[in-house]
Amino acid sequence: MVNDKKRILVIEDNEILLGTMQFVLVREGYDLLLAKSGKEALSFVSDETIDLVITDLALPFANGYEIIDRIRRSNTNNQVPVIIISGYRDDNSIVEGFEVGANDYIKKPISPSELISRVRLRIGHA
Amino acid sequence: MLSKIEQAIYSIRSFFEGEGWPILVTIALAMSFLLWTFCLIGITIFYYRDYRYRSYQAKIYPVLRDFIYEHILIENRGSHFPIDRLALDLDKAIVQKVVRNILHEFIFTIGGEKGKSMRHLFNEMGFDKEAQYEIRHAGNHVIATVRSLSDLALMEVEIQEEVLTQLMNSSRTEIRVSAFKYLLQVRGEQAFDIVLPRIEGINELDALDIYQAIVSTDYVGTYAFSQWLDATKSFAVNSLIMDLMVYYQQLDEEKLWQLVVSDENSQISLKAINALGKLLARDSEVRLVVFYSIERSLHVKIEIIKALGRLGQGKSIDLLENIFKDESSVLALRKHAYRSLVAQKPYSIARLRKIEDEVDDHDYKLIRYVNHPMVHYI
Amino acid sequence: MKHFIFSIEFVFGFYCLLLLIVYVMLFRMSSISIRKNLRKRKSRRVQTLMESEIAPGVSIVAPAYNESVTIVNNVRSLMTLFYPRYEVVIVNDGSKDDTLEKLIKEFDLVQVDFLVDYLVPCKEIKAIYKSRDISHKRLTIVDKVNGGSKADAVNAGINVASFPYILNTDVDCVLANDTLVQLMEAVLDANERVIAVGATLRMSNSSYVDSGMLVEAALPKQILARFQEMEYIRSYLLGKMGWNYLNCIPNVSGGLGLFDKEILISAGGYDSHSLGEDMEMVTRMCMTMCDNNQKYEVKYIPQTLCWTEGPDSLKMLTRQRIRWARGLMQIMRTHRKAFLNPKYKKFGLIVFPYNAIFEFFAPIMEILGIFFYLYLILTHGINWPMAILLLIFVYMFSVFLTSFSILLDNYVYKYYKRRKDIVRLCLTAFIEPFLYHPIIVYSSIKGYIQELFGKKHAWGEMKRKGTLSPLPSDRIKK
Repeated sequence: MVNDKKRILVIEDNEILLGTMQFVLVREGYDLLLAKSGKEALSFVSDETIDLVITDLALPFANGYEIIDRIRRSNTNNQVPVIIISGYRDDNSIVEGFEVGANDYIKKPISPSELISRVRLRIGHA
Repeated sequence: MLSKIEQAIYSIRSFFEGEGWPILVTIALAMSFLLWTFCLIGITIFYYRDYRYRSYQAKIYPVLRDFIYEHILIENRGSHFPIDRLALDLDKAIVQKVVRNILHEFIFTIGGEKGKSMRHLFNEMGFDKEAQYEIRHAGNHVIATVRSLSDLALMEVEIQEEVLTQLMNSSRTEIRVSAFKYLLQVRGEQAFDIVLPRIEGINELDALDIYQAIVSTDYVGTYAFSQWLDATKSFAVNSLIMDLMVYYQQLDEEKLWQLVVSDENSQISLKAINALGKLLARDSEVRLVVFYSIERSLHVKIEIIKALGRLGQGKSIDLLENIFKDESSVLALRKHAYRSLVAQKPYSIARLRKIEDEVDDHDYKLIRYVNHPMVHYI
Repeated sequence: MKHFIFSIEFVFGFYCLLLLIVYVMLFRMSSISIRKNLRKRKSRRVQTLMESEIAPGVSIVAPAYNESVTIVNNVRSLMTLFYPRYEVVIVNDGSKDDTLEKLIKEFDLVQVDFLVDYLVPCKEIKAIYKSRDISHKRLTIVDKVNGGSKADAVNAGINVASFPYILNTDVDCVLANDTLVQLMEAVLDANERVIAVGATLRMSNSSYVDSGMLVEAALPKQILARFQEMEYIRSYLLGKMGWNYLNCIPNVSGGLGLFDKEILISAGGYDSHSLGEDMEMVTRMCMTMCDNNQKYEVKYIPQTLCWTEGPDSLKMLTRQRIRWARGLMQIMRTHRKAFLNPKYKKFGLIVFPYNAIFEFFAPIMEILGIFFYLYLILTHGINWPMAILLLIFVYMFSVFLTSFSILLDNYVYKYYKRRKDIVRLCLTAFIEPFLYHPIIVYSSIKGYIQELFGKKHAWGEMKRKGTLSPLPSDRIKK
C-alpha cells in the first residue's frame, strides 16, 4: 500500500500537549509518529522516513538538541525540517536550537493554529 | 551545699525506685504505640487519597479532553460552553481539584486564541466564584488565597479594589506577591505604578516570579523602571528592576552608577555594572576605566572587564591590553581582558595582532583557550 | 559503690532523656518544615524557574574513577536535566580503565588548549576535552592525575567550572529530571544567602533504571539495601528536615548537593585528606561564613532527587560506615574549636555540639550502656521488670519514629508505585533495631578505633582562607 500522506514525528513528554498536537495534526490529514522520550524518538529517526520533526527540548534519555543533531547526521532523514517547541525562553536556548540545525522555534504555550501554519510552511498541506 | 546535693540525689532516686517511674514509662510506651498507629493510619490515608485522585483523574480526563477537542479545537467556540453535557459534579472537592489540574495543564501548554477559550471554559465552570470567595477570606488560608489569585489571573477576572488593597498589604509575603502577579497579569502596564513601589521584602524567587509575570505579558512600552532603583533597598528588588531594564533595553546610566558606587551591598554594585554592560552604556566606558583603578575587589574588577567587552568602543583597549599583558595579575582577569578585547574588535584589531605577534607560548595558550570555538564559558 | 553505680545510671539516664527530647523536637520541626515546603510547592508553578531566562547558571561537577561500564549512560542522563542554563563537568580522576576513551568516542571529544586557575588545591589537570557536537556544548571533560580522593577530583571540577553554583554529585547517581530546578528554587527562595542545599537520597538497587535514567522507583529487595533505604528516609525526612527548621543542618551529602561556588572557594575547597569530605566541607563553609560575620542558610528539601547504589554486602557496608565514622571523628578533632564557641553562633552552639554529643558519642554510649547492663545482670543489680519495660518503650519509640518518617515521605510524594513496597518498609522498621543497627554501631566503633590507633592520616594541610573574596592563586599549570 502506498501511503502518500506527509509524516510528522512528534516528540513531547507532556501527555496533554502531545495529545493535543496529535489531535490537531491528524485532523489536518498528516500521518503521525509519536515519541515520549528521546530514546523512542531516536529509534524512529533511524528506522522511518519522516517529512517533519516537531520536538520538545527537555526530554528524558536524550534532549532535543541531541535529537536534532542525530537527525542531521543520520543517513535517511538528514534534510528533514525540524520545529522546536519549548518552554525555554532564553536567547541561549533558542540560539543553540538553531545552531544544531532546527528550522523553527516555538515557545510554549503553543497556539494550535500557529503550529499548523508553521507546519504547512515547511511541508505544505497533507 | 553537699547535703543539698545529696538530698536532691536522694529525691531523684526515690522517684526512680518508687511507683512514679514505671507509670511514667508505661504512659510513654502507650503514647508511642498510639502514635505509631496514627502513623500507619496516616500512611493508609495518603495512599487512599492518591488512589482516589488517580481513579477520578482516569475518569474525568478523557471526558474533559474530548470536550475541549470538540468545542474548542473543532467548533472554535470561545464562550458559552455546554458544560452541563460534561455531567461533572463540580461541587465535590475532589472533582473540582482534578478538573482544575487538568485545565491548568491545558492552559499552560496551549496558548493563542484556543488558550483564551480554555481560560473562558475554566471561568464558566464556576472556578471564579470560589476563588473570589477565597480571597475575601484570605486570613484563614494562605495556599487557597495564593491559588485563587493565580486562578483569577488566568481567567482575567476583576477583583474588587478594596479586596486587592487588603491582599497587597497582607503580612504574608506569599499573598502579597501573588496579588502583585495577579495585577501584572491582568492589568499589565497599569499595575507597574501600584506594584513596583511595594515590592520591598520579596526574596529572589519572588523577584523571578514577578519578572516572569511582567515579561510574559505583551507589554512593549517605555515605562521607566529605573525610577525604582534604590541602593538602600534589598538586592532582590534592585536585581528585579535591573533585569527588567535589561529585558526592555532601558538605559539609565545615572541611576545605575548610583548603585555602582554605593557601599550598601556589593551584590547590587556587581549587578549594576553587569547591567551597564548589557545595556551598552557607551558613555560609561571611560568612567568604568577610572573606576577600575579605584576598585579593589576582584569580583568587581572582573565584572568591569566583562562590561567593557560589551559596551566598549575602543576607549578602554589600553586598560584591557595592560591587564592582559600584566603577567602578575590573576588569570581570570587576563582571560576576561582578552575576551573583551576580542569583543571590541573593530577598534582593537591592531592591538590583537600586535599581541599575537609578541606573545610567548604560555600566553598563546591563553589566547587559544579564550578564542576556542568550543569553549563557551570562561 | 552504690553511689557510683547510681551516678553512672544517672549519666545514661540523662543522655537518653536528652536524646528523647531531641527526637521529639525533630518530630515536630520536621513536620513543620516539610509542610511549609509543600505549601510553597502547591502554590507555585515549578516551571516558572525553568522557563526563566534569568535563572542563575549551575555547573554540575561529577568525578569518575574507573566507571567505564556505566559512564556513557550516566553522562547522557546528566545532559538531559531540565534547566535552561547549566554545564556538565566530568572529572576523570586518572582512571585506569577506558573511561576516558569511551567518553571521547561517544561524545566526539577533542582536546582543547586550556589554562586553569588552581583556585582550590587539586592534582595536576592534564587535559580538557570538549565535544565537537554542538548539541553537547554543555559538556566538559577534565582529565587529571589521580588524587586518591573524591575531594581532589571535585576540586579540579570546581577550578574548571564557570557558573556561580556547583552541583556536586557522583556519576553513578541517578538524578531526577527536575533536580536543578528544585534545588535552585530552594536557593532563591530564602532571605539569607544559601550556601548549600541538599535533597533526599534513596537506593537505586531495585529500582528500574534504563540508560542512566530512573523509570520506576522500587523498594530494594535485598535486605541490607532496604535497611539503608529506611535509614536514609529517616535521616533525611526526620533529621535533616527537622534541623532545616532551625537552619542547623550539619551536612549536605556528597551524593547530591548544590553549593555556592564563591563560598566553596573561599573556604578552601574540599579537603582531600578527609574521609568525610562532604560534611567537612559544609562545616568549613559554615565556619567561613561565621568568621566573616555573614548570615547564611544551609537548606534541605524533602523531595527525593537522587538515587544511589547502596552497598549490598556486609563487607562493603561496614567499610563504608567505618569510613564515615572516621570522617566524623576527624571533623570533631580538626574543628573542635567550634564546640560551644559563641563566635560560630548556631553552628558552634547547636550543630557542632549536637554532632559531637549525639552523632559522634552515640555509638560509644551504646556500647558502654551494653557493658553496664551486662555488669548489672552479673551482679544481680538489675530491676528486671523495669528494665524490660524500658527496653520495650525504647523499641516502640524507635519503630514509631521510623514509621513517622515513612509517613512524612508519603506526605511529600508517593515514591513507590506498588502498595506491597510500603507495607514491607513499615515491617522493616520492626527488625531494623535488631539486625541493622548493631552493624552500624559496630562499624562506627571500629572506625573510631582505627582512627585513634590505626594508620595516621596527614592532618596539617587544612588550607583555609580568611576572606570572602580571595584572590585566586595565580599558579598556572601547563
